[in-house]
Amino acid sequence: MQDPRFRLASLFFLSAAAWSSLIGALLALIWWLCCTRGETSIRSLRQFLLFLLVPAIMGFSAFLSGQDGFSYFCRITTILILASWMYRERYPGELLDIGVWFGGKRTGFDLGLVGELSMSALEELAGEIDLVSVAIRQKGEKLRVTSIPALVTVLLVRQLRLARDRACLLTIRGYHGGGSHSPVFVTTGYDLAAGAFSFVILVFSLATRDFFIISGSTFIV
Amino acid sequence: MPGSPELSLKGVTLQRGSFLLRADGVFMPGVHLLTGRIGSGKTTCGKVLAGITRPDRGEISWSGTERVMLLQNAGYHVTRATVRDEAASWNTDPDTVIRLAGLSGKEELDILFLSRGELKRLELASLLSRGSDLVVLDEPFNALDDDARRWVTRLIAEAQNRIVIIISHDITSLPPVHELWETEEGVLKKIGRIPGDMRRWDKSPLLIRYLWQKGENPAGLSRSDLEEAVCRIHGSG
Repeated sequence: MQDPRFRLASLFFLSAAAWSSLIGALLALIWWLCCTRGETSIRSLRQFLLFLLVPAIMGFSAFLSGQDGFSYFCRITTILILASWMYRERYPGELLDIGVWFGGKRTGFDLGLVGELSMSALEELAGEIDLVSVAIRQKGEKLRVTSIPALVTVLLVRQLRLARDRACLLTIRGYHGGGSHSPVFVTTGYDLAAGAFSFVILVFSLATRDFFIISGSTFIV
Repeated sequence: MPGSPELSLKGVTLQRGSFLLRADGVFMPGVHLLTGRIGSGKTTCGKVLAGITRPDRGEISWSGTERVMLLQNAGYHVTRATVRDEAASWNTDPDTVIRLAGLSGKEELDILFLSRGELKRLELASLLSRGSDLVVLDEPFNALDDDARRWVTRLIAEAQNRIVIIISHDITSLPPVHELWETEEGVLKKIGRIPGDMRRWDKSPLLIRYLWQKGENPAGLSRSDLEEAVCRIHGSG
């Protein structure tokens, strides 16, 4: 999908569909396989297993508390897969484009900028985690539980410093809020068809939704 | 020399998006300077040489035991919370390394409280004390003041019978360099031995071109060689 507006809308519809029912999650997965040829940003089996870890723990916890942990696992995994596809498809500046198109040059620009800075920070973090793993390998160390606090602290402090540097840069360049930006979108027939298909999936899944209770709180799932 | 480490690359290629790295060459013990314009592929090449990144194609033959690389940002090497623990994490004697890095008295300090220069000195001292037989140093002089640059230069020059590859644009602080390499648009090229082949260095830095214009041929690329060449100009002028 070339038009990020349709991609984002599809992501929203499909995530809501997956969240609303197990059938919705299954249909969202079918959409993902048909419309994106099953593309994600996951690059290895190890990454995939790590990717499954959090929903697996949450699903197992739900199961232990007497809920439908399998359903929870499937739905959250589907949402994460869709998010991973969205992350892979994105291009730099896309959130700023959508923000300005949707919310104008003041609020929209600010929201888009926050989105872009967040995505950029995520990319930086992913790169830094790769480099830290290089450092660990070079030292001939194994990742131990005792070294995790130091590693996480270093990564966190570096992210905070990066955020401070970016804030300073924006201030130096005279940013107060809002800005000029003229987004250009290319919309293809495929974008329209895939977007419409995702909307149909949402409508269908809402008709088959059920309720899921976890830790005493009620969620629509 | 029997038992000397040797790294050879044959038809090595690595594709990253639109960027293509191509590398051929043999690295023998000694100090190698790898230079080139920003974005020409120096760091990527360094990672391939250090065994961090595996190439898509080609053959890499390595006869030594351990290869390590100092990353551009020394902070990426940090895996422990205190100065002592960080030095120890390199499997070296932490007290020796801390003394070498000029950080005595800061052993128990939180690693995050070191300045960029101090952290770089600590990681450089740890890495060079480890005795690895191939060391790639990516911009080792960044974030260091003049005294620290002289210290690194001495430390590198003392490393015997190992391959040291310095990736840098900055030629004003180098130890004696034996071979010169360049990356240009992703292609690794050997310029030749120093000082014999220095004239083949088409994209030599301004200082070298200035010395040549003045009729001076520096005896090498080390700091003292360049200082002597400059002094000769002023002495004769």
